[in-house]
Amino acid sequence: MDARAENRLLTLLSIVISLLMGGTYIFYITVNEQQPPVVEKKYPKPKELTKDPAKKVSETTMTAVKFEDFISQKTLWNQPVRSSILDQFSSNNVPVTIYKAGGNFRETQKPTIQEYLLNLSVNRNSYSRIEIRNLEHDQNSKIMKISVDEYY
Amino acid sequence: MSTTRQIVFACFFLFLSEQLTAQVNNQQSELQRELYLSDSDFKQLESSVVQKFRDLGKYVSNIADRNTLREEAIQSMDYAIKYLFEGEHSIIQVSSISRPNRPPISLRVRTYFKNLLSLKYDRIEIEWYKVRFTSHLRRDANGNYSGIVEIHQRFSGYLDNKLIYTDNTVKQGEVVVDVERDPDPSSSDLLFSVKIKDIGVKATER
Repeated sequence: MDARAENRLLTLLSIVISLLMGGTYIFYITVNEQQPPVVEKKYPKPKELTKDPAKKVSETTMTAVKFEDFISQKTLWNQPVRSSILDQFSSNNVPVTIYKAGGNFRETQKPTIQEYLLNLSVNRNSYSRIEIRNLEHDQNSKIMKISVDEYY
Repeated sequence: MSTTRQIVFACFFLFLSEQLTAQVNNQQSELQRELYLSDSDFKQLESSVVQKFRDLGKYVSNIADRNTLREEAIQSMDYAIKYLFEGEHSIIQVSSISRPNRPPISLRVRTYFKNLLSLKYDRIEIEWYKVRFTSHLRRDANGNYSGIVEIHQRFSGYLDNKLIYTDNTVKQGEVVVDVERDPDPSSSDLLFSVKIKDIGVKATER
């Protein structure tokens, strides 16, 4: 190859390299422009821990054990749960109407909800199941009237 | 002659037993007729009575249990007396194989419960089983409906995890049942209350 041909080849190579570099630059600019704007994620601030651990446990128990669940979960019929269940009633003296086996036999005497919860605790293995026949709430969403069916 | 006499006696006893059976059936059906109770309702009523005795057995066991908090034991006494017994005047008899020749001791129901708390054992197990009617519900002289329920009780007392005392007692409880139609004409409910009068000791053995 003579010197003239060598110069032409070098010129051609530099043109090709320039084109490649230019193309790469244009591609880089284009891609960057098409990227969506970065959105800064907003995470909620961590909640402050409850200062009173007892209160926290109590609230957890309250939400975990509703009266309807309590009736059917015999293993939870203990004193702390009974106390939290009582809070769901308008008073400790709400009378409980007791029917037998889904029929029309009704006990004349009506124990208060406090007495009834104790009775459930003592007789926890006697019942095959207990169903709520009727439940009424007051304006504060507290239970003010209840009747149950006891099955042995 | 001897054979004839035996046949006459056999016929007489057969007649007598039929009369007694008929009398009991009449008394039962009397209650059913008055309240228009079906056979299944009557069975339900008697089943509820038996269940009351089983409930009482659980209360006795709970009160005697050393793991029961004293406050809860007292509440259990109050509940049992209020809802299972006629009242504070009801009597429960107790016996012991340690004093075989002495008659059972009669205690007011609350005294009986309180004595359970002060027995000198680390652990007490009381189980009531084989609870059944021995005399079905019938109208008594006062116009109430009453019956006799038999209960078998197993008592075990432990000290330092060693069984110190155990006995099996057959008890009999007299029960009064008040049953009536709901005065509300729109209701078909049958209202009933079961009250245990007294519980006596029939037999005690090791």
